[in-house]
Amino acid sequence: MSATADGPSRRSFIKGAGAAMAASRLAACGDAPPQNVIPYAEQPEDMVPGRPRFYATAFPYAGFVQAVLAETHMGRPTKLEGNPDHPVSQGATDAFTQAAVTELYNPDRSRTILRAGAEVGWEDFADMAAGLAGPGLRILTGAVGSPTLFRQLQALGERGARWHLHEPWPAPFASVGGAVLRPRLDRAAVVVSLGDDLLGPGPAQVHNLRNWSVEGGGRRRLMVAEPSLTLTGAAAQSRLAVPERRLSVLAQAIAAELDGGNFPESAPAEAEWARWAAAALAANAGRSLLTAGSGLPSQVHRSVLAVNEALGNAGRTVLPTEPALAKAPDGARSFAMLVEDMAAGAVSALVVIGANPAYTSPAGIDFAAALARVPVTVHAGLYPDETAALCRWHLPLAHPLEDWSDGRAVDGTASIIQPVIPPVFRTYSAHAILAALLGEPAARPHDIVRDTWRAVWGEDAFAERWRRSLLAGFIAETAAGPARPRPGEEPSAPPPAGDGLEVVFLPDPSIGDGRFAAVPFLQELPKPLTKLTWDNVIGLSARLAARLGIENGDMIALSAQTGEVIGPAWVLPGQAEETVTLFLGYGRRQGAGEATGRGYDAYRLMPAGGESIGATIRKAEGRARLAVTQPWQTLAGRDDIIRTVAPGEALPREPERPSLYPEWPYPGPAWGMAIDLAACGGCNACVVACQIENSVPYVGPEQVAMGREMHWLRVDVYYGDRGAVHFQPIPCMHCEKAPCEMGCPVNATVHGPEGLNQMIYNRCIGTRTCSSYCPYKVRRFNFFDYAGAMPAAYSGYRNPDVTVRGRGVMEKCTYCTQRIAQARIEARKEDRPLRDGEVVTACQQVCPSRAIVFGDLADPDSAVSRARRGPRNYLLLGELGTRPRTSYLAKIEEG
Amino acid sequence: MGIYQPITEQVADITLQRRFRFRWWLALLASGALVLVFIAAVLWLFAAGVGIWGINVPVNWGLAIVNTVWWVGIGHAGTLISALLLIMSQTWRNALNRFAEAMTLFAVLMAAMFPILHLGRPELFYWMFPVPSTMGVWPQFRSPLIWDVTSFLSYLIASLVFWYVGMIPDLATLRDRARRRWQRRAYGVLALGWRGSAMHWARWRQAYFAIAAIVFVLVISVHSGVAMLFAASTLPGWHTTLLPPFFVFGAVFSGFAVVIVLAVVIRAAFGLHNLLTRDHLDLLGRMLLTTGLLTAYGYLFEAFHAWFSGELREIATLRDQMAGQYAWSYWGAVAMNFATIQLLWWRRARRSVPVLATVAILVAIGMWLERYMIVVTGLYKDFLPSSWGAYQAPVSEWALFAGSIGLFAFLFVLFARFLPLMSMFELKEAAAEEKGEHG
Amino acid sequence: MGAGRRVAAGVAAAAGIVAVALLAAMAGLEIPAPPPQPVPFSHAHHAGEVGIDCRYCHYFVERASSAGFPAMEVCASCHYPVPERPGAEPVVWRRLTKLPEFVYFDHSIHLGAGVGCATCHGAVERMARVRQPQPFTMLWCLDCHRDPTPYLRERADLFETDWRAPEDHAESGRRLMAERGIDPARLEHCYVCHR
Repeated sequence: MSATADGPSRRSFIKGAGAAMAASRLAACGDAPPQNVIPYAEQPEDMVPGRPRFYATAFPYAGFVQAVLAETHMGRPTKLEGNPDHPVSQGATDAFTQAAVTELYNPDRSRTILRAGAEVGWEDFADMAAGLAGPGLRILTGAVGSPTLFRQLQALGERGARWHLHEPWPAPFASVGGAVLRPRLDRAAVVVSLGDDLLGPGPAQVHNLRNWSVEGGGRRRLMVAEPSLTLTGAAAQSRLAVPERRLSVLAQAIAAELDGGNFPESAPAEAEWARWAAAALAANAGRSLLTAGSGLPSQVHRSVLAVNEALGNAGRTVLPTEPALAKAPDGARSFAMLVEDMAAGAVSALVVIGANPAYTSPAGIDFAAALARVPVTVHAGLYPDETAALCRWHLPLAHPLEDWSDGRAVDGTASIIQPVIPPVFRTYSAHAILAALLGEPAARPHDIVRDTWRAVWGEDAFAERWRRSLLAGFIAETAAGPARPRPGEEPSAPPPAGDGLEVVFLPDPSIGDGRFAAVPFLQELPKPLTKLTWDNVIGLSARLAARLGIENGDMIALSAQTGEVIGPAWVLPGQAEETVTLFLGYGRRQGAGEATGRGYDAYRLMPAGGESIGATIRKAEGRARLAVTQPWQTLAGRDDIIRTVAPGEALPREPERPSLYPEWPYPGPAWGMAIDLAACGGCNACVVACQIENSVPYVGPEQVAMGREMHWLRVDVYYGDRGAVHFQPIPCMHCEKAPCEMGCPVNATVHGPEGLNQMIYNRCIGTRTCSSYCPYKVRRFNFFDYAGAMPAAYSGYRNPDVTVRGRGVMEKCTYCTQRIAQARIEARKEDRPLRDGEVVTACQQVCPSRAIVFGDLADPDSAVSRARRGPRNYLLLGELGTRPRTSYLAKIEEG
Repeated sequence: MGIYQPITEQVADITLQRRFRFRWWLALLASGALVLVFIAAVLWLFAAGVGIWGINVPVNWGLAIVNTVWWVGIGHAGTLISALLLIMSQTWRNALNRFAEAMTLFAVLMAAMFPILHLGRPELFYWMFPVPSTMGVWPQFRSPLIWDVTSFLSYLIASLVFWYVGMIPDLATLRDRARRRWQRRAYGVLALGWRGSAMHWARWRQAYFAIAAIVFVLVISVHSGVAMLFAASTLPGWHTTLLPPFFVFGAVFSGFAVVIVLAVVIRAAFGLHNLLTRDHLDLLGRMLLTTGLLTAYGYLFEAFHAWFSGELREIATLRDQMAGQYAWSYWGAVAMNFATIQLLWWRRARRSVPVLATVAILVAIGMWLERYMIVVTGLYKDFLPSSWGAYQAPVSEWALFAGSIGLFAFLFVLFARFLPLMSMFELKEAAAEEKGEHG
Repeated sequence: MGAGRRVAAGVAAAAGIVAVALLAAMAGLEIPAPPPQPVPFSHAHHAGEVGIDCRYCHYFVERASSAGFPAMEVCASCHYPVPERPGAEPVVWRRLTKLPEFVYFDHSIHLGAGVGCATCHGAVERMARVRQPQPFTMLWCLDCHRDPTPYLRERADLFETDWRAPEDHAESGRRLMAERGIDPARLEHCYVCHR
């Protein structure tokens, strides 16, 4: 299924690529098909027109890679799927990885080498770079998981250069005494999290959601104490909202409760919760897990580890392992020391690769001022960002899908990153840039990466292992081994910040720490807990908002010792009362494409490490117009939308509603879907996967604010009683008795012989009756030519098997009909029926928590039929008699 | 001859003799300016797409549908006055029917335009007609939109034919009285060679009554069909059997209101006080009151049904109507459609031109508000709270609405000048009968 | 008298204009003339006189949605014996058969179901300059999708250039449909061709 990009096929691939690009449906946005047909000069052996090819590669994020299979059509990558064989991803990816393929074509990417703003060539840079290596040279990168990059950095170190690391947000797993503590939620019956957003966005999300959902995530008991609601808190059965400064106290209390130590002074609610948590942990010793946010002080982690060791959890539900990321020479102070040296004039040349410190510098570190004292400054990045603007040199960095590299997944499993397309723009990989610094400007990243692994495997085994690793997409048995945490006394933490208002920081759920700010698809991805798009807000509790007399959207000012930010207020359900949450990633000044200048910059207040600070709050002038995709976030008394059962309980069977219309006959498959609300973690990966698979355009903040977002699949959020948070993914229900079909005057939406509610764009005249009639409002209308309004470069990622919709037509989820059609054609050619599981929808394929099952309802043995017969199955708005083909499995909650 | 001559002269002279007066030109210019607004709004719409409107998901129908329902409702009174009262031999209709029919025709034209303008791809509107094509695809006949296309079109054609056939004898009169050559030719062609022979009259009467019978049925079917556009959905507040009769009552109600407004204007503008008497206004006032009370019955039972159903969502929609974001449209409708017409219980109010005209204008506005309430309140909060939204019409939608009023007025102003405003021969007939009775 | 007759004449004239306009519109549906090609390639010579199988050049036709256009090296394999093969430059052909982008035609499944090349492409072996023999309108496609019996062949006959439907095609077609599991009711729905 997958192919390698080197060897003969790669040669022909590159050769044919030019012709292929011309012949492919790049002109898909226009009405007329291309006028010319350009065949290859030499036919690549395994290139079949119209048939995608898959390359196993990996996409790095904050130092960790996610193994993927890249789908390419005639040389164009169009979609990334999780590598099903990889031990971490097991076929899933997160939302960021789904959007990565669009970043490849992002027209805001930087594409030329600049020296003082003027375009120069690679040779100019290479000449300059060759002389830099020496004691004055400093390299600044983000987290490094690539063995090759680390090898190159070490080689530069041998020549006197010094490597510094700046990652704006702490890595997902905490570490104690040199060992990384990797949770294994699949082995835990009870999980107690102290501010650890296990299921939230980040490099470990897929890892944790996958494990959490083994045997159904809702069956695991999850207890969370945190200052601001996260996806982990949303999934918790028991959640305590406390200021971040109280988390270490809770850790102490749990430890004291278990080992009989000194129970710290705490509020009654805290003490009760801690006792409860401790009891649950103890009752499930060996199958329980206590975990704390990686940004918390290290002595908290020490005591958490002690609890897990005492309960026999260590080595089972939490694995102390060797770190997968390279360790920076100066540890946590790496970046601060660099800036101190720069300010002191001790740095003669600074090369920043893939980081944006001019934007992400924490408060109190004036990177820009220090940079002014460095004679030679080089920045390499995907975008001409804030740091690029300050540096004399700027190099356009290659996208990970464009050049060779390697990396490690969160469990340490290594992958070779192979390019799936020749660079879209003239860009350079980090390896090439470091090679230039090492005086080898002509070295190809392909050879550099091969050299790394040749050294590891030895010359004899190399060729075979390299080939195998490329085909597999990862290098087997390279997961990080167990480690023993070094004993040691951690420095005692500063005392809690007092009783005043506390400010906590969180990376934005959709654009991370700001690195994805230029990706419009992620900007428009509704943030799971607020449904906001394109902006960040200052989150505060309902009580605090009432006290200040402010509503959602009112501007408020937050003053701390380090500075002041002004942003729109937003009431976050489940927010600790005296806590305010700031979201990172916005307030970008440069290089964030369409999002440049949107929102406020939380880095101006954030201390290094991201811990909480004290601040004062006041009302400011004005209101913001926020683009929210779901303005109502309560059930408004309609509780049967989300159903909950006690473990083992069964919902009453849905009666078959009568209809005046005759039944549809189904000689063949009758497709259906079941979505398990107990498993859904609200991570949004399905939303982006659907968007990419079906070439769904983004529309921009103004259109979203008008209620015109185009996502075919949305994840609704409802805040219920007693702090309950419900996520409900809503694709088209493909109703058996569909109101839309009855309303359409021109037969543009009709019932197909396999049960699909078909939407025929080219027949649609845009009366919008179907949308008016749809009880689920899953239909999306092209009020403008949204696809055409996107930059033309994005036509590159579009799925050639899906029609691009023009102005004035309706569209909606098709159950990925192009995948059904492809599977049906293949099966028909082989004269066999479709197998269960042969058709996988994009949302189902990507889902890290396996919440979506799709298949043939006419086959009683199919997975979806079994799910539908199960005790938790229910139909959304079943009483309307629409007989939806998409059904839901109820959440599970102890009575 | 004595009693006929003045009527003929008075009505025919408006078209044949009278000079174009300043006030007529003013009216033509004012409505013409609005027609330009209409043209600009349509061009803007076609160039940029329906995205320029305030519609969204869930409120994906906006003013365009409101206007359609409103206009086609107005188009009901004309036909009802003509056809129903003709069949019932109510001779008082004779002063009203011609211009009321013209009003119907123009209003239905306006109504028919909006569903096309509101399409995402208006150039393909003809796919809603059963035209054989190389695609081999037909319209979807279960759709209420297809019923609407059929009923609008048949109503438009039938109204046009009814109006035209009814006008033939008068056109012949104009032809015979015309002095200018172009008038003789134009009215001559339009009169289709009418000579007023007994045979002509007999055939004419058969045809006219037959068409009247057909048109009367269409009055019921058109607005029931429009109501089905809403009632055939599953939405709370829309999905009710009450809607079709409720819509028909409301339609006739708004139609009478506009007839009153036009009658008052025509009466004053052309000095037709003797033909369009206070008795006529009194009768119209009574009709307005009657149909208004029928509509009020609809309001009452809409609320009762929602409450009586005990259905959470029906009650929620009722609450949204009365206290939601768009409650102003509900209470505006109740105030103007129910409260104001109570004045008409008094004979003096009915016979007072200013009072009657004011009430009629308020009713016309109130009925528009009611259509707004039905469309927007029905859509903005439906089943899943997650998909609830809001709607606000921007200038692009208002311009189109104002433009359509302008276009309607423009056509009416032209009609008033170039075609017989009143049915001369029927007025004469009635006068003859009266004389016969008394003398 | 005159007025009525004049109106009648006017109506007749209007009807005439409409009829002419309709005819003009129908003319627009006519099969387009073949565009000029950069190389005067003759199917009549290659497929007819020399008798090269369709699949020699259109080698993806049984495997993929697109039949494929021959790479230059395929042309060169006959025209230039190996030693003096020139550096290959692709030929930029003008597209003859244009389907709208919302139509997803798949050659392989049509062959798989038993529809031969000539059913849609005509007798290319007799065309010196290949032209589109069918209008390729939706109704034309539907005609076969609704009743494929006259067009279904034994698999051995798929590439026969002068195949004629057998006399008993109603019966043989039905047999082939049953064999291959072809159900016209399922062939007619929108998602077969549109997505």
